[in-house]
Formats: sequence, structure tokens, C-alpha cells
Amino acid sequence: MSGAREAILARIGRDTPPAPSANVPVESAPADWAQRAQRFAACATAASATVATADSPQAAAAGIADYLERQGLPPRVHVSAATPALDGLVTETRLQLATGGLPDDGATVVTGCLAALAGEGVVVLATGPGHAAESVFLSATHIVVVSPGQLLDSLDALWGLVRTLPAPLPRMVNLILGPSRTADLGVPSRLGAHGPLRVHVVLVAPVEGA
Amino acid sequence: MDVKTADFRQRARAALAQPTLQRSLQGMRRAMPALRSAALAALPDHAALRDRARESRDHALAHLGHYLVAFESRVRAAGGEVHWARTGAEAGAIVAGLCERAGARRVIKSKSMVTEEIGLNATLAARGLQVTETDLGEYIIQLRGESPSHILAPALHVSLAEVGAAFERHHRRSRTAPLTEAGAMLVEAREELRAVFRAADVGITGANFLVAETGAAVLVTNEGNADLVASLPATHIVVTGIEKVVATLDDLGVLLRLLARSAIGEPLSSYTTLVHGPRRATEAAGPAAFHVVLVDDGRSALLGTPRQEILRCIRCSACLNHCPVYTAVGGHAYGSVYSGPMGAVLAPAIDGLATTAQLPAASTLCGRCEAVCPVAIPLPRLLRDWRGEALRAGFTTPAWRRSLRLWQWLAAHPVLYRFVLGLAAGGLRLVSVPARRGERRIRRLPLVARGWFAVRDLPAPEGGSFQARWRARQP
Ligand code: SF4
Repeated sequence: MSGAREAILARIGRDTPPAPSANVPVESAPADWAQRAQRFAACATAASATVATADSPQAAAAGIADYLERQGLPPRVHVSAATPALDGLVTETRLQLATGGLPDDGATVVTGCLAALAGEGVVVLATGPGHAAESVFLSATHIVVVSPGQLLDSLDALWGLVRTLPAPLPRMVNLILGPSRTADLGVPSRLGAHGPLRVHVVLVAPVEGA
Repeated sequence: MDVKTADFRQRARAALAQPTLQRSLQGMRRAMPALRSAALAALPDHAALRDRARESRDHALAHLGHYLVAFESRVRAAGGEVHWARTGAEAGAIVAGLCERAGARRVIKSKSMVTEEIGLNATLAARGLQVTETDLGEYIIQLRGESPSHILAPALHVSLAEVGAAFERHHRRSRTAPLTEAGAMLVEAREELRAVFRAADVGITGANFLVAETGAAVLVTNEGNADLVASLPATHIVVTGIEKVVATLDDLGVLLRLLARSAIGEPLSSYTTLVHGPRRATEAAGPAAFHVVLVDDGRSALLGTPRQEILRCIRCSACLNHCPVYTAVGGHAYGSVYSGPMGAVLAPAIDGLATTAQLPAASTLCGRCEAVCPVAIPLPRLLRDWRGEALRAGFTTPAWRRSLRLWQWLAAHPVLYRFVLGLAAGGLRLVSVPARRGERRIRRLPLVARGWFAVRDLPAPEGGSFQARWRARQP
């Protein structure tokens, strides 16, 4: 039905437009990491995520083990989208790591991320050789570790980052705000419709004086 | 598709007598306006953002061909294919062909109003494909064999007990107790659908937006089902309207900031996903084939007309949630896939005015829809525009045409007009009764408008007529 393309384009025209508006009402977030982290935590917890901070990747890994104990969840975690922020996992003896393949239903997945957005409480993951989107969406608990430099202002800063990524762009860029939810079984919304029931974000703080 | 909007009145009357629907609608009337306005008040400059949103939609629509071709070339560069469909039937045939090419038997879908519009499930089922909806609300109405009653909450009209009954009927499991609790229903649906997800050959989604700059199809959900639909099967097909394209990521950001706030009073939905083509050579997972089907189905005919403004719509549902008519009768009364004010403007464009002429008439033109629309669509003006056309084309009832002609004649005879109006005002004052603060209100009228007066009253006319006051003010 290649005739359809030409017929539709003939109806709607194909002129070259002037440049689209660059005027974006930017929401400015604080430049200071601690204040940004605070803003992020406020937005993410409002969307039923939990947020912790850690001084190093090692402390982040220890915090994850503590979190799983507190939640009464098994210490076995599936690792995906690894970044240096996950370096502490291998030395944390309380965790059992699994990589490759897909997590089982009910599993916990620990991931790094492409970015976290302070203004929205959103974590952003990108698919690639080290990460399939479904490893997050099939798991019941998603733990994300964010490096200090990954904590951006807002959506606008994310678009800036996406524009610097090498072509081709990642197949999927996933913006995630809190756990999966549904309002289809009445009010209030219920968590864990298809995706994770729990989202826990660990923000790794920058090294003092760095 | 089979659209039966002609008997709107009959269905509206039936809807008023449905207790579950009425409870849901009452909840919506009470909760949604406050949620929406609180979420928007948290923005630093809502008015500026709304102007910018409108501008970005107008820009994309003014150069639709350019941006669709740009989008198409990006999708191709990423290894995907783009297909164009003039009509719903053409789109259905394309999707069915793609399923055949994939050797598919099982298809999963995430919620898409465009696929409802083109009746895609029926088309695929007729070819022997097994189609399962995965958005929980869509899944529920699919089990019940119904159509959506709200563009975002398709199962709004279904009670929890009815959901339990549908699950008991369709899920083959041994039970010791009836399914009555929402949490248990959610667990059960999640388990049932997991198996369906893993067995599917083709995943079909809509798209909330298409981004020309990067070739992204953008999926917005709270459940995360669209992400699984777009990840697990070997083929992912996006079916969406040609008007969904935006120029840049910045435009997308502006619209995303307004979409969930207007829809559900949340800053963003849980999941916003940009999909760029099929799996890469370096990836072990993800669909090997990626297709986008761009559907016209009456949209291009609106371009360049005053009705073009409806194409800005981002399907947030704020106009439904704030409409005194929609929140009284719900979506099924409209008999069209799209309901509420946006549906009453869009349905005649897609299905033709002959079967939909009652929809633009089903509005008080109170203006709340336009006030809450994040892209400032002048819905009341567009409704009036369709009304005029319905009258000219003879799609109104003879009684309605007679009364309009009478009014027209009366308005052309000023002396008589003033006399009749004075008489009516006097009559209304006569039947009014004293109310609070010295006001007078009309609580009932002899013989007419019993339905109205069963639930509300009217203020009695006070002082002189507008014309009398106007004359008095002239020097
Ligand atoms: S017409 Fe406006 S308010 Fe209604 S659904 Fe569309 S964007 Fe939302």
C-alpha cells in the first residue's frame, strides 16, 4: 500500500518548516548535589519509591543488603545495566549475584542507570548489550544505584544528555517514576500491576572535596 | 466500525440508572478536579507551559508532512519499517499482514485508542489470531466483551465484584473461596498475564507521541504493560494516528509535563518509554522486527479547517473528567470509541456526522473543557461548529428544526420577541419560591423538565431583561 503514503503526504503537504521553538520553560533545580538529592527524594517518595543515600559504591551495596533484609526479601539479586556505581556489589558478601538471562517472576533486580532527574524523581535506563528492559519489568523489586554525576536537574537536562549519545540511540530509553501501579481496581491505586512492586533508589554522594 | 451514536438519549437514560457507573462517575466528579488543579499549581508557570504546549502541537500540525517523513527516515535508519494507512480498514490489513509475515498466532496489546477506533482486535480475530489486551482495564472489558467507557480508565463502569466474577469465569484455577478482594485480583491478573506475555509472538502498542528528532515512539503507562509488550515478543508493531508527531525532545518534555498532571493529577506517569527501532546486533533481547503504522482515518481532512485544532489533543481525558455531561452519563452513552467533549468533536470527523450528530448536541457548552485542556482546544466552539453543520445537513430531528425556525422567526420580530420574553420571565417569577438570602428559585414547572427538577433547581429571572438594561444605559 505504498500509494497510501503518497496520498496522505499529498493531502498534508511537505513544506520545510522554520526551526521549531527552542523556548522551553525550564524548571531549574539546585546545582548543589545535596539539595538536588533532597529534591529527587521528595519527588520519588511522593510516587511511592524509597530513596537512600550512600557515600560510596561499597556503602551502596551494604545498604542494598540491609534493605533486602528489612523487606524480608532473599539476598539473591539479578544484576543488569552495570555501571561503576555497582562496583561494590561483588565484595558485599551478604548478596548473591546473578547476571545474564532474565530474572524470574518475583526476583530482585539491581541496576545502574543512565541518569536520575531531581526535578521529577525519575530514574532513566537505556537498553544495550548490558541491559534488556524486561529485566526491570519482569522483576518484583527494582533497586537502582545512581552515581553522583548522573543526578541531573530535570527532563530538559536528560534531552541534552540523549543528544550527546552516540548513534544509533538506545533501542529503549525508560523513564521510571516509582513502582508500577493501576487504578483499574478502584481508588486508591494499587502497586505492582505488571512491573515492579517496589522501587528503591540509592544515590551515591560525591566524594568530599572532589 | 459499528458506531451507534444515534440513540444517545436512550443510552444516556440507561446510564443514569446504572448504580456502579454512577458511583464511579461521582468519585471522578469529586476527586479529579482537585487532583488536577493541585498538580498544575505546583508548576512554576502553568500558563506559559500551556502556551508552549499549544505552540508545539500547532507547529507540528502545520508541518505534519515534514515531521512524519523525518520520523520515518529515523525509524528506517534504526532498522524499523514505517507503513501508512489512509483508512482504518487499510491499517487493519497492514497489521494483519505483518502478523502473518511473523508467523504469529498469539498477539498481545497494550491500551491503544487508535486500535479501538479501527476495530483492530476484530480484524485480527477474524484471521484466527488470539489477541489479549494487557492493560488491566482493557483486559477486564475484553473478558466482558465490552468497549472502553473512558479513554484512560476503560473499565470505569465495572464494579470490583464484576471484575471478580469475570476472572472466576475466565481464569482456569481451583478456588476455595470467591474472588472478592482487589489485591488478590491484581495478583491473579498479573500471574495470568505473565504467561500470556511470555508466549506472545507479536506485541502491539499505540504511541502517545512520535518524536521526529530521534524517531522515537513514546509509550506512557502506569502499569508497565506497554514496556513488556514492546520487549518480549519477536515483533513490535506501533499503531498510531498521523497527528501524534512532535518536532523535538523539548516539545515532548513540555507535553509530558502537562499530560499526567492533567490526566491523573500526577507529575508524570510511572513509565515513559522512548522506543527507537528493533533490537541492535549487539543485544541479546528485544524484538527483531519493529513496525510503525501511521493511520490517517479522517485526520488529514481536518487540516486547514477550523477543526484542525482538535488534532492538538493529547488524550489526557481532562475534558471528560470535568464535563457535566460525561460525568453524568459516562462513555458508553456516546456510542463512539472517543467520548466526552473531545469525543463529540472527533467522532463526527472519523465516523461521519450522519451517525454522530447527537454527540455535539450533548453539551451545555459551559466551557470547562476548554478551560482545563492542556493544549487549549476551543472545544465549545468546535461543538457549535458541528451543530451548525448537522443542522445544515439535515441530521437533526424535525421537532428540533421546527423549534429553531420558530425561535429564528421570533428573534426577527423585536416587538413580539420582547413581549414573549417578558411574558415568560413573568411566568417564571410567578412559579418561583423564596430561597436563601432573599433570592427566588424555581423548584418545578408544570408539565415540563421533571428530570431536571428532580435533582436541581433554577434561579428565577430578576430585574429587567438585558435589552431593557442596555437601553437604560445608553446616554
Ligand atoms: S481535548 Fe484537551 S482536555 Fe480533552 S483529552 Fe484532548 S488534550 Fe485532554
